[in-house]
Amino acid sequence: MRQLTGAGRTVVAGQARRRCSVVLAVVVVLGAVPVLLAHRPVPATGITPAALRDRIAASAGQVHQGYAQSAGALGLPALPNLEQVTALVSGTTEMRVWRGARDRWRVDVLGPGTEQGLYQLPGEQYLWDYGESRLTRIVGEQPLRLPRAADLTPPELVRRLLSLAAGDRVEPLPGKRVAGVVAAGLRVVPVAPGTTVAHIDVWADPDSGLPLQAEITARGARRPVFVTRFLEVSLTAPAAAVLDPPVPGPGIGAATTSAADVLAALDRWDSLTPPDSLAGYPRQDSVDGVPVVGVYGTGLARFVALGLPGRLGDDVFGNAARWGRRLTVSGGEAVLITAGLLNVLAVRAERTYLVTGFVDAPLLERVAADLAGGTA
Amino acid sequence: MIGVELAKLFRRPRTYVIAALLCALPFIVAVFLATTRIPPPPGQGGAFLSAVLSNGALYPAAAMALVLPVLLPVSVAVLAGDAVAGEASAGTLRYLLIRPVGRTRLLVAKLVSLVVFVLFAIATVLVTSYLTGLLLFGAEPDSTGVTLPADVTSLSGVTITPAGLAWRLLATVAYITVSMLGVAAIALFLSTVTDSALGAAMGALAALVVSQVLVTLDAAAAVRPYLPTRYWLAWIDFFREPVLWRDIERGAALQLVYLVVLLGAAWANFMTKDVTN
Repeated sequence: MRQLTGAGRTVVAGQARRRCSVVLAVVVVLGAVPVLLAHRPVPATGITPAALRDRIAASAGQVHQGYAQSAGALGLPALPNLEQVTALVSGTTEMRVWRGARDRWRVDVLGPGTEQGLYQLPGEQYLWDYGESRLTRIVGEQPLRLPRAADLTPPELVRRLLSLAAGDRVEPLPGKRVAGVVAAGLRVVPVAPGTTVAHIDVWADPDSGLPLQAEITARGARRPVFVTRFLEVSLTAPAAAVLDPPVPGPGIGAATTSAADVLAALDRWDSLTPPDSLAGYPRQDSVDGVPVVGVYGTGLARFVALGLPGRLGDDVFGNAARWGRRLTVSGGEAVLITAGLLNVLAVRAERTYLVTGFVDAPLLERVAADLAGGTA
Repeated sequence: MIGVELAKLFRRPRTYVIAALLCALPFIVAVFLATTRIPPPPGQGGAFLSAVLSNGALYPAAAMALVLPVLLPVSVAVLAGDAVAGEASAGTLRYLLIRPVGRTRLLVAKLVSLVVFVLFAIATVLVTSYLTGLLLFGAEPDSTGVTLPADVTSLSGVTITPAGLAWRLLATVAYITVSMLGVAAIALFLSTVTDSALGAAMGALAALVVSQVLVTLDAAAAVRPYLPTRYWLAWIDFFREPVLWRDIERGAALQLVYLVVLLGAAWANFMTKDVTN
């Protein structure tokens, strides 16, 4: 028989309540720990945006190692031969980063049961792909290449964006903790017309200038559409052995390519050189003496035009046509894929061109008209 | 009490049937791979499966990746769900508690028994899959005539020594055992709530399915670090060079939190529960 303790309550019920309270208290304490850690007050760093920008620009030699993550919500379709590039801006990329010097670093891209490592050594690179079980040696600096995951680590991306936005306005942002480091913030607001970028928010270590987090917000968007940040970082030099590429062994394929090979291949595409000007902007060669890729525009409103050879061009255009909006141009066909921040234009006339950049649809419509050889 | 539970665990044929089922899946997959020599494309299918054709000694890791997502948690959920509810529905719980056996001790003994089962099951899978890997994929006699496994390459391209492979596999066993603590705790808690062993197991599996779905959903990114299955595959990071400890540490800590909270809830509920059957 249960004892009553008053108001109809039993001793057993009271004990049960006490035990439940203990468990509830444990849940509250355990749940509060991450919330409290995330909302610790951030001390003021006392550095001006201009000074922070200068330190970031000078931080290329800063040694560090850490774990970084980039996440894009651009929703670009997988274009043939460009799947890896579109995946970089449309999904999440997990990376491990070790940097011992400007010309001695390693970036691993992690996947469930896969890994791709890029090793930079003086004058050469090694690319390890576990899925293909292949080690590729690249001799010399690559004159031209597609974007890769290593370009999306916070330091690399921020330095590249800030160099593009050299003339743009910077504003202070409140500091925040990134990977446990108290980081100072700045916001870059582009002044160039025609860009899709509303602003770029950057947080960096105020002492070394090492960028720790970047958020790119598109015009009209309420939230960033691309974020890259360190989840763990240490401003210490990595062990030398970590920066050594794997040694080819049994079962591992090995290949060597060189910058000269790439330039020779590009020579064959000489006839695909984009026009001298597009939408009123003159062409700048991305690499001196290699006109096959044209760069146009200024600041963050720069865009790139690439000529594609016959069959590849047809494949890319056909795939783009499945996803994009057809534009009316005389003298050819054009398809525009708008992804908020990064827009892609495919034009097929006498030649096929792929154009992309942080530029808006009206500007790309003018580009399409120029490439097709007529007016919209 | 723990000794009694362990004796009961190893006396029951179902323990061996479940272990055999866990071993059967990697064996069947190995037979298909060995006969067709068609590995899944890199990054698709189970982890390490694309590499085992040339690295037979790596097959235990591939076997872990095969049994971890479904078979092992289902086994743990079934056994944990049956732990208390099974005794209640069979009518033995009342007699068990009359002996007298403390309810806290009974819960701890049930949990220890589950941990031992997981260790036993994983060790069985490890040994059988290692032998399967050597038999079907890679075993070459060296100059002295001793049969050795082929070299194992880490995900980072570095060759793993036999000692390195051994500690990585042992660490994998330990991590997967810890990963199953969360499942066991959920099912054990539900087992104290209901008298239906099936209901408790189904409840735990439903929680895991929800977790698995949310883990892949970008919109649920805010809660992802707290989902019980979020770090289940972190053991793969033992096979990177250097080992990536980040997710392994978080996964182990998260499972311990689930264990503390749900075992506490089970204890709070079970201590004063009326045993009516």
